[in-house]
Amino acid sequence: MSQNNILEINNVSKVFHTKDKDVEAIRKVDLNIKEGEFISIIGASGCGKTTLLRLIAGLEKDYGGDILLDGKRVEKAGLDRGVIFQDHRLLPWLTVEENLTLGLEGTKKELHDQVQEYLKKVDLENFEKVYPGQLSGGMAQRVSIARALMRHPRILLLDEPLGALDALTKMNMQVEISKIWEEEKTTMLMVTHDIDEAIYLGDRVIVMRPRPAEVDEIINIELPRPRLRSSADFAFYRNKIINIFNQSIVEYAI
Amino acid sequence: MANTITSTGAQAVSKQDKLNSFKKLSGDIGSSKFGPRFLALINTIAVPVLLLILWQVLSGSGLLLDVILPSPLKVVKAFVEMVKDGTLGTDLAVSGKRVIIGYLWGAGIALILGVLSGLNKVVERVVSPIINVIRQIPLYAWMPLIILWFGIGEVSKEIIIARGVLIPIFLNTLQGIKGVQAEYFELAQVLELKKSVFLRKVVLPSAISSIFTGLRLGAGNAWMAVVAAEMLGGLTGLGYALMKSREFLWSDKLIALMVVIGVIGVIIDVILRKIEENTLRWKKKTAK
Repeated sequence: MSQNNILEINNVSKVFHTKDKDVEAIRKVDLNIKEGEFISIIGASGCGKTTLLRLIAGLEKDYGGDILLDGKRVEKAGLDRGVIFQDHRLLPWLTVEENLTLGLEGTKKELHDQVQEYLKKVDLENFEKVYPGQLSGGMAQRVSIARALMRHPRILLLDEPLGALDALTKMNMQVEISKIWEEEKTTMLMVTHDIDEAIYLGDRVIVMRPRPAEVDEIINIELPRPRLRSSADFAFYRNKIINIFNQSIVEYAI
Repeated sequence: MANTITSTGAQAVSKQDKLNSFKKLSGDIGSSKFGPRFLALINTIAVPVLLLILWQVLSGSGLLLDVILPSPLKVVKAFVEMVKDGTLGTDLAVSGKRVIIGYLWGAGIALILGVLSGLNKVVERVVSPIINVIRQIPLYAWMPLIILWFGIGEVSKEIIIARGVLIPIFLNTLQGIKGVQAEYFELAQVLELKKSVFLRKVVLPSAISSIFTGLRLGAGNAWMAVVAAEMLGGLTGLGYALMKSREFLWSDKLIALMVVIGVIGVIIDVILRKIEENTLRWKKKTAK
């Protein structure tokens, strides 16, 4: 492996075996991710991109090829990979603080300090005693990000993290995630079907073609941060990706 | 409502007017003289009060023998007498103790088996069919065998109660545990939760509503089972007091005892509800 690759995806395939047939979800995907990078994976719904993320997370097993995290093959889930699901997946019967510290060891004081520190990072100071049901969707997702970051993962995997939010909250959250990424310098890999979101956050955007998922094109986003959604350069990338999608739609139509 | 308005215009409008005027009327009652809570109370006690009046009229009419239907007043007197001479207290204490012991055994076994079966398929495949067969044989059909084996002493009564408690608590616990969402199992993997933490912080809280339903149904069963068990044998307890009252044609005592049994059943349910509400504080806080 090369020196600064944190995650290497080599020739990865995944087939789901159902009762009457085998469904090929991913075919021969290659992808290397450098430490500190933000990678957006974009593709149509149901194209298998979430399956790829779940393989990296260790939530799906039995795959072909290798997924190497720091050179070690991924076989199961673990704390070295933080996962943000589309739903915040906080436990409704635990307070924000209890959710954040779930399963963590340490003295009360240590844990409390960590909770304060990470709630501050996601702009939710003084929310530790609140139950998830009392939070808005965006706030809950921020707690979920804090929960993942508190465990110091090598890489943060975000599975359509803002898919359930309204347009405005979504834009605010993109700013928020961008800010956290720059401060924490955590490597992040996000799956999305929102082109603007992919460009706004990604150093590289991986465009996938569907069924089975294959890498169609990898686009380096060479825009200074913070990025301006209304800029001409942003529109250039947007058009580029839209064209790739149009292309594949034509191909599949034939 | 919306349908009726769009379908038949004029008629619907008049209906709406009526509804509005009715709302206004009831609103007036509510605001002027009585609070809404008072009205709710009236709703609840109207039928019982009517039945009580009917009972008084019937028993006073001379159509029925006193021994068949004593007047409400006589029943109250019988109740006071039982309280004063201490028989009610003694019977209550004896039955109560049996219920508590039987309930704790039954609930304990049911919870352990229910949780284990919910978490482990092998355990479920062993336990579930057995419980299912036990369940199909009515509680009363168990009594002769239990009495044959354990006599008419305390043990057999406690076993009968435990058997009555076992089924609803087991079934609801199992259902609750199996209902834990697959998403939480994923979360547990991602957060590398230890089994014990996962059980305490995720599985049990997730199943707790269902478990409480079982505990409440079980408590109702326990209270019914103790009366049934005491009617079959022994010389103490509320069930025995009922049978004795029948033999001596003390219908006033008999009815008073029935009311006591009913009221205590309700009290047990209310207490368990309160405990449940307390345990599920988060639900109250997050209710929108």
